Amino acid sequence: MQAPFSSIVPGSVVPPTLRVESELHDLRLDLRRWFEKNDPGPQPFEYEARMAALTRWQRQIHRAGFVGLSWPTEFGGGGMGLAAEAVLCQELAATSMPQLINRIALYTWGPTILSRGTPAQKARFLPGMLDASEIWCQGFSEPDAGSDLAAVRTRAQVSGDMLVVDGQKVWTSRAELSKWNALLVRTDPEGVRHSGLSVLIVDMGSPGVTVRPLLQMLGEPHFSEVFFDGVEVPLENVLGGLGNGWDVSMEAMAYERGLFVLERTTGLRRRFADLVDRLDALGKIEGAVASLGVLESKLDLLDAQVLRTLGHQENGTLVPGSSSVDKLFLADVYQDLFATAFDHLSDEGLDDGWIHDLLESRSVSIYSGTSEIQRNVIARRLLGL
Amino acid sequence: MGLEVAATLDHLLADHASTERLLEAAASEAPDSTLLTTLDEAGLTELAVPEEMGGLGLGLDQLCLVGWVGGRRLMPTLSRLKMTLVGPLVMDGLSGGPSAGAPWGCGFPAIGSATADGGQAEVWIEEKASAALVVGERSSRVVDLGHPDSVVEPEPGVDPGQGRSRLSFDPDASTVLTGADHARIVDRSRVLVLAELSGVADRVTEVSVDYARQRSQFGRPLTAFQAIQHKLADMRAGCELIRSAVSRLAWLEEPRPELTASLGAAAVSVARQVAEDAIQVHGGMGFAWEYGIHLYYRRCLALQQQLGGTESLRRFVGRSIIARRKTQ
Ligand SMILES: Cc1cc2nc3c(=O)[nH]c(=O)nc-3n(C[C@H](O)[C@H](O)[C@H](O)COP(=O)(O)OP(=O)(O)OC[C@H]3O[C@@H](n4cnc5c(N)ncnc54)[C@H](O)[C@@H]3O)c2cc1C
Repeated sequence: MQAPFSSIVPGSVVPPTLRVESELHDLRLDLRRWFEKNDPGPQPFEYEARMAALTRWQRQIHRAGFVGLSWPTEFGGGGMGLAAEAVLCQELAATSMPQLINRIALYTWGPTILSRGTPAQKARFLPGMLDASEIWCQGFSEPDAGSDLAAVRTRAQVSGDMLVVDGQKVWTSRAELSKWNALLVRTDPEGVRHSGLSVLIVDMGSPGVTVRPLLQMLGEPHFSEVFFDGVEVPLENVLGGLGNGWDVSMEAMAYERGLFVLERTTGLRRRFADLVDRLDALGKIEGAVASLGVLESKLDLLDAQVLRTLGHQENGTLVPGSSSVDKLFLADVYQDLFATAFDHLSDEGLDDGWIHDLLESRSVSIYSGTSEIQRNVIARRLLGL
Repeated sequence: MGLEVAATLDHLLADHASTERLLEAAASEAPDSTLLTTLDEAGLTELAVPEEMGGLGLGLDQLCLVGWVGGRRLMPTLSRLKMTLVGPLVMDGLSGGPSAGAPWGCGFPAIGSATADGGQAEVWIEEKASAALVVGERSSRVVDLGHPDSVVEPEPGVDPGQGRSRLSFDPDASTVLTGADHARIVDRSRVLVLAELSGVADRVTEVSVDYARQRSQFGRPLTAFQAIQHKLADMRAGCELIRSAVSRLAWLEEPRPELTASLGAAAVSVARQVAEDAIQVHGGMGFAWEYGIHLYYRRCLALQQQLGGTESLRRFVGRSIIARRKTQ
């Protein structure tokens, strides 16, 4: 038996991808000119100095009018499409600091608030995201709820017009720098698994919040344990309604896999260019030509995947679960790039930066859903298994 | 328009290119001439020809849809070559020779090594072909197969039954084609290889998922085992990546041959892994001649070779990075 043709053609065999070539030419030139003039030079190696420099950098880019290009103008954005963000990412990649410190806010929680937030939440939270005056973190993982996120036990009880939060999160990135925490908690103690969860926007300066930095593999206090002991959070800080935490979180994760992956990708491009420079300076480029070809083609493929995802996001046609492909492949390319760099530079030319990046690359297949979890999602949502 | 054409092609191939027929052609090592004629008559060679030259003038995105269907149904290689190269190139500049819809031989311009000047070429040849098109990057040659210096040696290679052969010819006795559009036509023909790969990968993944659902071991369907789920998930992820590569190229405003090469190099590796996993998921059935899973694998390998061979493709992409640096 043969399936009818219309049922096998997904309507998107050749889905339109975000076009970044000819569109927005003026924006690209503006950015290029501005970045050339204002490039702050290599980022400090030392963690705290690096964080401070990155914060200043985002503030500066914001002042020039280039942060939040796709956000509505009424909230301080540029009122443009996602293609503008893509162009920013690409041009930012050519600078010495190819990342925005507040990316969790810009790429994940900002879009979620734009989609699900109340007018008051939009007015309160969006501006501080753009100028990096209020850094965001995301409190999902707990000691007993990692991959199995629905097992979160941190709870929040309604008491008048407040919620009172008790529990513990772990691996919260940049918690010590953050003003706000998008916190996934159980608000209905009777709720099973995905029901009864809510996302709260928690002020990290509230009484009862304790942040205990954890060193990661590189010895940097990149993430923390965060303890909540009777922390009061106004009810108006519930994002997307009480009990809708699972949906809100999943929507946030879908955003994360669009621009966030694009941003990581452009950062990788930058490091790839560094690698080519390094090999050239060492006179080793000829011997590495095939490896460089592999990396270049994987980077192009990753770009193609992300641009397609963004094209779907822009058109509202993103298939749930499909952006797991982006995350899975990002980890693959990320780890391949730094492993290749290590292999080709091991005899000479391997500075601490390359060692740092190789070690750090191991985190990419763990954070925001491990590669195994992405495969589970693809199996379940795309293949229906 | 593209959708109707694709649906027609899908039906024709469903009727005329069953697994049994494909296996027969593979075993006989000769292309299925009835099928080739059927597809010619359906107008395949006119699809990529501009309207003002009497063709259908399908856009690249629509041609990709057609190529994708061709990949799913393991369309004869010659049909793709006639659609993407013979049709557009011959319509553009040959008088007195065979028409595009007649039997032909045709080569494929491998990336990075494509000249039409040597007296040797890999071509795919149908029965009764009187001429062969040897395609280079900027020009092509029409070789008269009746010329005494034209010698054809069958070399079926990894994907037999497609008419793959080695052609020796006298370059001076051939007609040179150099249309203004030549390079663009060549780039499109490469994008269409990726569209075909996308179809092959999608189809073999679907077939594997279906098989894993209905085959039970240890009292459970294979899909209950996470090792199999993850393999199938990787296959599906691979399919998405290849499709993204095709989309990216199909929607460019101007062709970017370097990007075609780069995405091509990545996509052929991904597709090959998908087809290898498909064999693994099928167990012994995957290794059996009769079940035909090897046909998808063979096609992936053949398309990879046509595009340029893994190592030379990688080097080509690597060299273009170096060349770009020198001009900056
Ligand atoms: C650098 C970094 C930054 C992070 N930042 C944050 C943050 O800001 N906020 C936050 O909330 N969290 C953060 N995390 C935590 C991260 O989301 C979790 O580490 C991740 O979800 C995995 O959870 P886990 O560590 O408990 O591992 P586990 O869930 O215990 O997994 C251990 C291993 O088992 C595998 N496994 C688990 N379940 C399955 C299954 N069902 N099928 C197959 N394999 C399975 C996993 O893939 C993994 O290989 C961060 C982690 C890192 C490394």
